Amino acid sequence: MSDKIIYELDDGTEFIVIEKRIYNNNEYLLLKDSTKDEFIVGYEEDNTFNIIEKDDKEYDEIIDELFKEFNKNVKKILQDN
Amino acid sequence: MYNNIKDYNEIKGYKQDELKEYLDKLDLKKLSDHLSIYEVISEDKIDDKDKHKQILSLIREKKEQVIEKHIKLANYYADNSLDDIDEIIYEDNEKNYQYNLDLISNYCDDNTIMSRVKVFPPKKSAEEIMKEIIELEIKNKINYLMQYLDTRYLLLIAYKKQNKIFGGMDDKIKLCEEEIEKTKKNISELKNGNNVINIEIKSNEKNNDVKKEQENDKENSANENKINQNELKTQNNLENSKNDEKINEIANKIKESLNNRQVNTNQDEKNIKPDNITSYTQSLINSFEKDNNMVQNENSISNDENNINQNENDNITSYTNSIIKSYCDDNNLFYEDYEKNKMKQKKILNKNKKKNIKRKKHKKLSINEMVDCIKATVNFFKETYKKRKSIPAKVNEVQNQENVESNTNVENDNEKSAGVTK
Repeated sequence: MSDKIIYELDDGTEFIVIEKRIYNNNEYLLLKDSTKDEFIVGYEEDNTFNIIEKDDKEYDEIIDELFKEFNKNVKKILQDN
Repeated sequence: MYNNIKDYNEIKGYKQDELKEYLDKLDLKKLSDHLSIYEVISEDKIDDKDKHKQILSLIREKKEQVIEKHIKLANYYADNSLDDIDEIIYEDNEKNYQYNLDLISNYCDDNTIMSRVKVFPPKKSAEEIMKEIIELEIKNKINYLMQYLDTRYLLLIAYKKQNKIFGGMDDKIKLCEEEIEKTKKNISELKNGNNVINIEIKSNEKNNDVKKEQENDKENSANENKINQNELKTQNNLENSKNDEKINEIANKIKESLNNRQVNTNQDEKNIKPDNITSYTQSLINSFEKDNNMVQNENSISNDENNINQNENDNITSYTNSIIKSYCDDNNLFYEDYEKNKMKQKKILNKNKKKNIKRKKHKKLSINEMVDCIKATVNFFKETYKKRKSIPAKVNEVQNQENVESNTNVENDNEKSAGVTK
């Protein structure tokens, strides 16, 4: 069993926090739709989730950072469970 | 005072490691606050003098570290012109820049630090910094003005194109062509005016420009009257006249603001802020659309034709985009500005991609749910990197890692494995 944070958004969708990564003074999050295999990347600010789109220039950079973090944590997650 | 004592007691209760950890998180202002409390606290309130000294020295040390960081940052910004810094906002990480800016504004409030910044005061006087600010203001305003003129020019071309399609509006087309030429001339004059403006700031020769502006106004006014007498009879013409007034108004305000050389913006200057220009441009578009509907009625165009016209209106955007390119090529003056503005607009649009968070909650995921999540995440990364056509070695590392875990899990029970690609 693993404790995960769930973001419930205004439109009723629920997203599971899959990964977090502090980078450039922001905490970037990788969220997964709880009902389907869809992901969004972004950061939280003033109770809103700011989505970083694929065509934003920082998108690739943040994906790399999130991937590094995920890479680091995945083994531990699996071992713990 | 109560809060100060509360802070004092709170810090006093920390062990040394805890205190270090706590102080690490504080910004300069908070550290200064703590330091001032510790420096002025009356002796009768200090129960352990050694510990008091120890804490005092630790806060001072932390404050010094933060100050050093700020000075380094301040010197970095002092070495770059405001223009460069303006670029950084868009070219570098906007968020990061804002964070650094906050740090600077914090340290600027602290005179003790200001006096220690080695580069800032000697390299650039207050007057020099002010000039840079003024120049930036002008540059921005000119850019907005250019944007406005571009929009107007494009609307006229679109109007011309539409009239050509339906025919029978030769006089209006001719008028549009003249307007386009006039607008081009205005843009060119303003562009030259910008150079004059920059020289003026350095040489303080204000009067010549004022005269030049007055002469231009007279000439424009005379031209306006002539056109009004001969051709500006329709609603569209009245609208164009308003546009010219607006251009002159904006130009005058820019000149005025330059001549006054004031950094603080007054109410008039506020009137030509980008928001107002945007709304003005919007009203121009609305008038344009309204005007075209009027043209249709005047010419008793059939319903079918009206529908075609509507479609044509929808196509104007794409058409005007192609016009922008040729227009920029012809003039070679505003292409960069146009692209830059587009980038800025994109940034603004991106900022709007927000979703409100209703609430956050914790949920315990079962092993199966978690494994599914991990599988989906790995697939997400794989797909993402595949699209980028540059799969870092680490993707394979994760995949291998997953496979190892997967094998272990399969051996332990027959539940879904954590492996991703079996």
